[in-house]
Amino acid sequence: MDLKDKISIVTGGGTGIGKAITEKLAREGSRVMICSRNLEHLEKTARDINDQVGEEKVFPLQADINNKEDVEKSVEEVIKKWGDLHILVNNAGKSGRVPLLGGKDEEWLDILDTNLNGMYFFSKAALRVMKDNAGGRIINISSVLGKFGVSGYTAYSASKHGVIGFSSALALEVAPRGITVNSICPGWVETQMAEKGINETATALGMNPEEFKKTQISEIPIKRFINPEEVADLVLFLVGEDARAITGQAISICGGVTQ
Amino acid sequence: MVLKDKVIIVTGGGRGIGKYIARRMCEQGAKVVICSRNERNLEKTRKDFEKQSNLEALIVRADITLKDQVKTVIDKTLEKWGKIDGLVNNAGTGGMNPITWADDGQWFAILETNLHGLYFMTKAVLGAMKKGENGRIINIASHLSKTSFPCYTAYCTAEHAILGFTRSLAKEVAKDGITVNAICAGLIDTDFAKKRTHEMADQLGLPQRDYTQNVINAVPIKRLIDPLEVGSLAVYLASDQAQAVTGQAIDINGGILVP
Repeated sequence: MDLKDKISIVTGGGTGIGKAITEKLAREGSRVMICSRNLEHLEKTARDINDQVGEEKVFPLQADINNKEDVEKSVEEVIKKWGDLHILVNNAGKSGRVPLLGGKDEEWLDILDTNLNGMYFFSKAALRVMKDNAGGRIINISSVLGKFGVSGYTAYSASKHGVIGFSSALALEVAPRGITVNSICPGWVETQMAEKGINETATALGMNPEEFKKTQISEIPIKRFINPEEVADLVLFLVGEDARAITGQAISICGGVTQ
Repeated sequence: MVLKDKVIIVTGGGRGIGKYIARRMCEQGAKVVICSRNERNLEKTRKDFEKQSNLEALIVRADITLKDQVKTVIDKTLEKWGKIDGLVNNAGTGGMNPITWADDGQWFAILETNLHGLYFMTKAVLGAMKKGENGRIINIASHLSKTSFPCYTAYCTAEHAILGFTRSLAKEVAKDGITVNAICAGLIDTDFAKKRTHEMADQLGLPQRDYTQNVINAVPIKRLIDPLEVGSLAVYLASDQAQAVTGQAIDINGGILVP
């Protein structure tokens, strides 16, 4: 796939799934701005990928995606630097087990803010600069928890269901501009965020994390976690020219867990 | 060449979506077997493929609703290429069958091709597919697998049923490294879709041309989908990169049906 002339933004592009997406986009030729609060992660990821591809493809930018000004500045930076924007991957997200009664309101607000407002601010800012009929793509990383719930995860599940609702409605709004909007719903992916989830839930259930992970794997039809690279490959398909008729969809990559 | 040397059978590959799926797969290095019961369509496909020297396909005339002919397809495939990696169940028929019609022929014809044919082919292919070798079953379904249209009970029944089959089988064969997915195609630019649209216009008592334009206007992306776009989605699902995508029903419909 040739993404040589494409300009992308990947939020939360410094680690986990976001890093894998950034790497694949850059390898296919796209220039990618990655942003998050953690500049250290971003700089390391940018260095690693730029070294691999032998070109300055990835540009790190510190930004708080919950902050509208930060988000608008980030998009302005991209336009200043590269003059255009084609692909936005709203990947930055926050998880966490927050039981409804025991949990703090701040945790609910933080998860909802990061997973929904960040996506909203970025989409709005990006849609102001994306050109019509130029292959614009917005891809929002939801979760299988965007399609079902898990005990203790009301905040995360609500936010990820919200991502799907946002994507399908926005898809219809921008279809006349030739821009597609889709969400991807990964199951358990081998990332630090998943590891944290495993530990939290195992502790809550009074189980050993390794044991809990085994029971989770046994419930996945393909009997393994997903690799971040597999999610990135689905992103690559969706940004491609031939995926221009796929819009408003929520595609699961979950080893058969959710249907 | 993400499908290099993969042997993939495409049913109903003599025209329409099937033919274009076969073409996209050949372009990606697959060895494609095209079967259809229509000799004339197959002959035309043979000539089209011969014109492009890089496209290699084995063409087999067969009626997949007949078990012995299904066996012929499998035998000829194994004889020529020694293995089967994938099956695209694309053969299907459609059309109106108002419940008030005295004749039951349409009901039986649709269920026979769209369900029994798919069942026979899948069963036979799974018998020949090696375990743990990235086997792929891709069922071509429709947006009418998820919604409905008046006077299409047979087609809606069959297309919904394909999703039930897909989801259940995905769980059954996941342990063998085989994925099973459906593609829910919206309004594709084929003769088949044209005929359906004209039929619906007649049913509603509207001029065919006006009705076709109305239909296109109702698609958020304001156009019919190119069958090659469906072909590219099938290529992605057949590739090793999509190993964790199983049991899904992925919509390619220009936004006419979103979650």
